[in-house]
Amino acid sequence: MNDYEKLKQLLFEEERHKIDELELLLKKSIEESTDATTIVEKISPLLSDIFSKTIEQNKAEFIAIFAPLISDMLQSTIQDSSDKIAKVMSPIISLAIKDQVKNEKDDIVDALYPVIGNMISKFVSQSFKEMINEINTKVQSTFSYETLKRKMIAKIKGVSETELLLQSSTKLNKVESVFLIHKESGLLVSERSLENHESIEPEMVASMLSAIRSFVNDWISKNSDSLELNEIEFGNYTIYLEVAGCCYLAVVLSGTSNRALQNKITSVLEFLVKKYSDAIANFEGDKSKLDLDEINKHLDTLLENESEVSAAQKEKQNYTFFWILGVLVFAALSVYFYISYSNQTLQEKIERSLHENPHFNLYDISIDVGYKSVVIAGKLPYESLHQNLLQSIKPFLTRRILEDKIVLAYAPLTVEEINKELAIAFAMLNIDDGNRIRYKLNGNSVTIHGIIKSKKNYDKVLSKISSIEGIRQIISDVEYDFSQNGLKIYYGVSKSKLTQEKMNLLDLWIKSSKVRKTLELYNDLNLLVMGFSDGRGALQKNIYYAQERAKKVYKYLIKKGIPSSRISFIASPTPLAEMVNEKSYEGRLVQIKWIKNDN
Amino acid sequence: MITKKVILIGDFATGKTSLIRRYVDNQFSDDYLTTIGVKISKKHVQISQELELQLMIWDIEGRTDLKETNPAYVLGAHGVIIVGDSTRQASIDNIPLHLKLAQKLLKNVPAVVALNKVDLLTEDVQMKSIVSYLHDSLEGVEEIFETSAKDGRNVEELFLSLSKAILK
Repeated sequence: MNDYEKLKQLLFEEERHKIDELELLLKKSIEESTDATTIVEKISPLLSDIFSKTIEQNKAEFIAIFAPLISDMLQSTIQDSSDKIAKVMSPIISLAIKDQVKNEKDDIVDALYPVIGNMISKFVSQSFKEMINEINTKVQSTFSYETLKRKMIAKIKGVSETELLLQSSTKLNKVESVFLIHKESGLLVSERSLENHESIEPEMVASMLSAIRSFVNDWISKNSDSLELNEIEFGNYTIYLEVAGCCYLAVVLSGTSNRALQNKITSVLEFLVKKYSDAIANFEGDKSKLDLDEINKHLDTLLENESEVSAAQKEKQNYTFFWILGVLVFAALSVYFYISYSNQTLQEKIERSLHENPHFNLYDISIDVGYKSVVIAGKLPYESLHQNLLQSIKPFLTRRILEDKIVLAYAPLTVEEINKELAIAFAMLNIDDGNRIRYKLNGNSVTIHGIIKSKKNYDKVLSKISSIEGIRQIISDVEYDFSQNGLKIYYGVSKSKLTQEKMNLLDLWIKSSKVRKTLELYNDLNLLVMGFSDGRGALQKNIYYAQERAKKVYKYLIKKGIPSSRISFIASPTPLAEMVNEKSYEGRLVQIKWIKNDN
Repeated sequence: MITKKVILIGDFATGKTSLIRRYVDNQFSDDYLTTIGVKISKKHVQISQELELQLMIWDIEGRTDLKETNPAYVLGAHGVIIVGDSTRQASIDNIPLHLKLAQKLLKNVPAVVALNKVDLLTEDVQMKSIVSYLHDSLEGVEEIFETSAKDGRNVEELFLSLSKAILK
């Protein structure tokens, strides 16, 4: 007997009569009408009754009979119309899962664990694939400043370019709210939030954070005052705490904090503390006493949204790049300026030393000091000057090489040029006291005349003059070591006549002492004729003779060509003390002396 | 609106937390109290028609050893409420100690005293003697209230008095 017959037996055993009734009814109905629907309509109310009653009485058996059928039924139904089944089942399934998770959490976790691992790895690998594709397109994108920079950074850091791109493609944190809190009282100074992220009870949060901060600080850093609670993390959120003297900032951000953001927070707090530290320190809960708008403006900078933050960061990175560039340029410039400055100073030094030698001033000599070399160029009239120049520059060269571009131009010098040269040469010579040299240029011959103290100086002058190009002949009429000798002429008692003998003596003196030449060369020397008497006898007489003696010599000298402007006479009735000795005649004399005039 | 920090101190189990629960608009879960030793609550006090004050009430965990209280919780407070259990003499005896501690950390800050759990008191005479004793021994206290967190007696008055003293 199969299941069906068993069921039939079960169903019909106790209600055979009812079935008989049914049979009768059926027959009757069929007779009455051939329409199937009417039959179904008529039987259906009965069927439910039949089933419900049977199930009530023999539930277990009923289930046993149907159970194997149900799976088949389901299978075939799912095959035929899976959509419908899904629709029917879905609300139940979600409820069932919820219920199951609630009651058997651990079991579910265990069951799902292996599957989830696979799911996640599949998802992650898929995401990575997409990301890598994105990166590849980025890498392959056209050459730009960004790619160049990235390539450079990758090279410098030794990190792959992809890694850098990964860093840049990672999402940044989002600051959702910022609390500025009075440290001591925990009162809220100001709170700023992103739109749609408004904090609930910010005052409470501020106080609670302060309490937590105090608690943690008290609990952990019992022995160290400098420790601070910096971060509170929960799930994907971080509260970053930045503490200053009178207040602290609590920044709520999704994602973990990063250095750039921390720096930003620090700088904002730093600014606020700097500007409002007194106001905040004295905060007594009355916000109207604070410049809240200004404070909020600064706090709002922390709330800049992601794109703004990343833009700001990009900008910052750009700034760093420009900073580096700027520093490099500055360094290059300073090296350049240092070199050119040192070149410049050396050049000035050389030029100054050349200026000290007047010869070089006459010619246009250009000196160009470079980093490695010193270039001299220009025209010099003769080799000795050229060699002189090279010798002058040599001590300045140190590490530099001398590039000599001096051209010797033997072109005959003009008279002015030669005169200039000569003037310099003689001016130098005449600086020495006692040298009195004049020169005369006549065509290409120089006539030198004068008095020179030492032969050495004179040789210098000669070599200088001979080195001047354009001078062919030097006529020298120079005398050495002139001493300005005076003259004493003695007289007999009561004698004042300038005898022939005395005149000869004067002539000889004029000649031998080169009086005329001396007067010519020494503008500052004048002649003084002093007449004396022996001081014996009448004063009147003595005065007379002294005067007569001097006057006669004076007149004679003028007659001999001594300019009257350069000579004068005086008389004294008594001889000078130094002149007095046993010989009485020695008091009667005329003394001619060179005196320096004061004009 | 002006916000002020008010602290509640007093011996263990004097009913500080109950007083606050009776009074405040908002508070964090009581769990915090046992964790970090302080519970924060907020209350708006309408002082006058125009003047409204926001109180941040720090309910500091009562300890038997006074020195243990974290001074950071006390610092920066604008008002102090010292709570004693009127049925426990020891908690009343400690009120001057709590006041002294607060006055040491806070300069010129108004304080009020709440003698709580008066609903449990059967004899009015007993209460009166306590109050007179405290009046004699406390300095710098604005007012002493006989409060009950249970029936709400004098709770509003307690906070209002302190608020007015803070704004003085």
